[in-house]
Amino acid sequence: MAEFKTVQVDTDVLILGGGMAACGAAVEAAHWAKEHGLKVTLVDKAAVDRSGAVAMGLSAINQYVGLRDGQNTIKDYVDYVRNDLMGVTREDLVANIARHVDSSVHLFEKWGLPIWKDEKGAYVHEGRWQLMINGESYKVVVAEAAKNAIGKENIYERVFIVGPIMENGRCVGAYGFSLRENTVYIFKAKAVITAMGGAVHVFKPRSSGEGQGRAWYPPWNAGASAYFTLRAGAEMTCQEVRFIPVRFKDAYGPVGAWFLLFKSRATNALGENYMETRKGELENWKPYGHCKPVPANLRNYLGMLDVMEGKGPISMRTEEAIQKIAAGAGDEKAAKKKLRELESEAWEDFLDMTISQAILWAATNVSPEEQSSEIAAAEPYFIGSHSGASGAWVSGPEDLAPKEYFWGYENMSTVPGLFCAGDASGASSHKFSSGSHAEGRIAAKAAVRYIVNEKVAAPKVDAAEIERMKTEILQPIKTFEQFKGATTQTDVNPNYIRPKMFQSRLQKLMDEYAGGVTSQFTTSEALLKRGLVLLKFLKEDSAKLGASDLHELMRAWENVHRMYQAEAHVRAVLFREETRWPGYYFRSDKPRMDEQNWHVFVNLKYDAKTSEWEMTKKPIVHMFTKPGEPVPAGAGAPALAGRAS
Amino acid sequence: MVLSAPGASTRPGPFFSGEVSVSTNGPVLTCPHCGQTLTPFSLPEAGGWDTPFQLACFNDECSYYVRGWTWMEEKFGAKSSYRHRLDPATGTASPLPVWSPTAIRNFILEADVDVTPANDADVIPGEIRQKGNSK
Amino acid sequence: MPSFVNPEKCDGCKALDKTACQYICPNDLMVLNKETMKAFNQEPEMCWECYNCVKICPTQAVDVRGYADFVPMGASVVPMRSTDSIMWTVKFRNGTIKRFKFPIRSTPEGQAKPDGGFKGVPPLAGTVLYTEPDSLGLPAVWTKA
Repeated sequence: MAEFKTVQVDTDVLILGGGMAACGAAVEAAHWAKEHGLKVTLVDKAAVDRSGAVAMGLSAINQYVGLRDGQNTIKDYVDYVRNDLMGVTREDLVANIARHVDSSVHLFEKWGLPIWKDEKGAYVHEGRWQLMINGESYKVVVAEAAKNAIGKENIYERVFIVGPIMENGRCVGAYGFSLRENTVYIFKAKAVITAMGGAVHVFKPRSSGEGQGRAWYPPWNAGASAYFTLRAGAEMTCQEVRFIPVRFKDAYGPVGAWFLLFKSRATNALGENYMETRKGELENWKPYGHCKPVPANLRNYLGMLDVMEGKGPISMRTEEAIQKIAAGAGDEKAAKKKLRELESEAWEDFLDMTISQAILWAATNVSPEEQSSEIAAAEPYFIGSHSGASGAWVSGPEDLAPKEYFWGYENMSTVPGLFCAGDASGASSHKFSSGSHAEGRIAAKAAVRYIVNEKVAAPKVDAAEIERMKTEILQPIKTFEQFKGATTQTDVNPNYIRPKMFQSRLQKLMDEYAGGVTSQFTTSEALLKRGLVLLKFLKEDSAKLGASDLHELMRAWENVHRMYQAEAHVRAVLFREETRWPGYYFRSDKPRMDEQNWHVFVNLKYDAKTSEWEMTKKPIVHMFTKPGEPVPAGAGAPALAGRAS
Repeated sequence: MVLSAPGASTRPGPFFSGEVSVSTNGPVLTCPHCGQTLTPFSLPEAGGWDTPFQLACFNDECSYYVRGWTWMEEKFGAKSSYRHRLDPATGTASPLPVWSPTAIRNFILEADVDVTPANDADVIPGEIRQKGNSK
Repeated sequence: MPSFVNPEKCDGCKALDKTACQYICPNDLMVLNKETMKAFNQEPEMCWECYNCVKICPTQAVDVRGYADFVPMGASVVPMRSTDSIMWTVKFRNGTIKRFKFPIRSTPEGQAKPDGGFKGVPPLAGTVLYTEPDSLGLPAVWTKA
């Protein structure tokens, strides 16, 4: 095996990841660090300019509260998130992000993101919380501000983080390797901010060839945050709450503009709108079924009921929407002109964030004003920043969090020194890009305050520990080198498993036993337990991963990360004995929601030494209840939906 | 048919515990750019607003709307304009994006707007008042 | 195959140590073949078609062919990105061509000031983040009464 050198980096604030949350953390940390003589280091496995979920751009900013214009209140946003997540959300965390997200958005505008606004500067909204943008370079401007803030010399690109460095139960750094040179990195820090995204490709995708790359969330989100926090021994939350987006089929282009701006509707093969024909089903999910807007998972579920009965395909009636808008435009020439203008808008929506959808429309000769386009549920995703909720269990801010949710520093996990933001932090859904950036800023300030107030000493990591980490990182390369000669084709070898096949095995077992696409998102205790048996075999086999080069070494570790996210998920789905998000997953053996016993968070911890998992229930404390409104008890009645009338 | 905006008289803003009130005593609500009456229109359920309607100026000659076409094309490459829109629950205005003169017209509600005033005493007819400590 | 490289246009970034597409790909897919000195996509089934390689290539050597397992052949989407706008040329399978142009940023490249020009310098204690409350457009950060 080639010689790998070891590079140790000593820093104070270590930011892991380079996406929206990490860039927010960088801008914030840089300021406080300068004030207090601290060093900030950021580590990205890709290039910060275009890394993370916003790599391609975005067509809209999905969280803007508009506090300065008096358009909405914090309570409004918290109500919206709580209702969408069927009561399961950390209201203190959501409120904390909601009070800061507007400043992130205003910063984006100053940095150079074109946000649609009128001649007076009033933002143009797509929906109540959503702003229209020209977002092709959204990540570029956000990354630029982050890089200018902390300095290029403090940024490590193309370095993949494998896991945490611990010292007496405290997180004191991270270890990983370069994707460009034979170098192992040991980062030592006084506080660590984990912002390495969510997890994609844990389940078998709908496409089986090249199309596997066309995930809705990017395939480079491979569960690094979940693995990092699990291995550190941090308490995790909402591991059962995966997200299933319903989007334009196969290319997964966005539907938001069609529903909100063009006022489209979606119908089944018989021309029926499932939001109307299946409305009665919402009664079974009260009080959330009565909320406006209808929670995303229930919206999904109504459409899934049609599909399961064979009433698909479900189509977005683009032609109907456009014709309505163009109607009365004047003569035929004027109408044609109007149609061209409308479709320009439809195309920008795709070109700013899902170019593949534009390719698909072009390849199938789609004129949206003439024919509708199919929409469908995608495979499951772990995305705590969007409509999922999985992530680490973090402290809330002192002024908002009830005592159950506060342990010293906002966004710190239950592991001292380990802070989480974006997809890495759980139970704070609907932050999207802007809220994740704001959460990164929140975590960074708290991390610096932690270092200063606790007078955190520089960590000591001994040589033996560094050797152990290096050996662990490089094992797949060593395994491949050692055994590759045993067959004439390196793919098929009884001594090791290549990451691609390891991933396929994981995806197949999750699909079949944990409610993936082919299982119609349905599972049961029996299926989940069988899934755990197969995961155990897979975990044992992970010691035999074989990687031929640095790129494949990254794939090996990404799939180990995915595997841990998978197991956390299966255990949480098993533990929660009800179905609460039928449009995300359905327990056939527990088909109803049980507010009496399960109006709680399902939390868990993993012990890296014993390999044991500990499952717990935590109460949901609602912070905005007013006298006279029904009080949601920990395991009792739910919070009031929407606003009191 | 008479519509009301539930909660419009009781919703507190982020910085004051007072009330926003909208009065229909006297002149009805009008567009500050062209003076025309504001028209109620229903909102898409998915939009996230929990009020069922808002108000907008559907006057195609409204200067704000007319200027908007050029503004949006020049600044954002967008073939759209916007109409003056009022949220009766908060009393705040914001641009309503429209892609054609007929856009959203099919969502117009044929009704009078009746929003319950919070406190009659010092409400000026036709004007939006914020009571309590405003920011 | 998601992104692919035209060998007639690719010059391996003039024999630099790494190519532009290799520098930018978020999923580490673009690689320089040191023998031919041309770049290629080493794992097309992990390609998100984010187009960053296409946009960054100085010789426009990279293009995207829609995923073969669900996209019929014959279409293309080609960007031309400048400092403040992007132009897209969409070619349909039936030969129709559409062009779109959109702005992409409103400030000069490289100059994003971290504080955005806002003047908020709060204390380390408490809830107010750097640049706030000025950057919020409010007199203070909200807290629960």
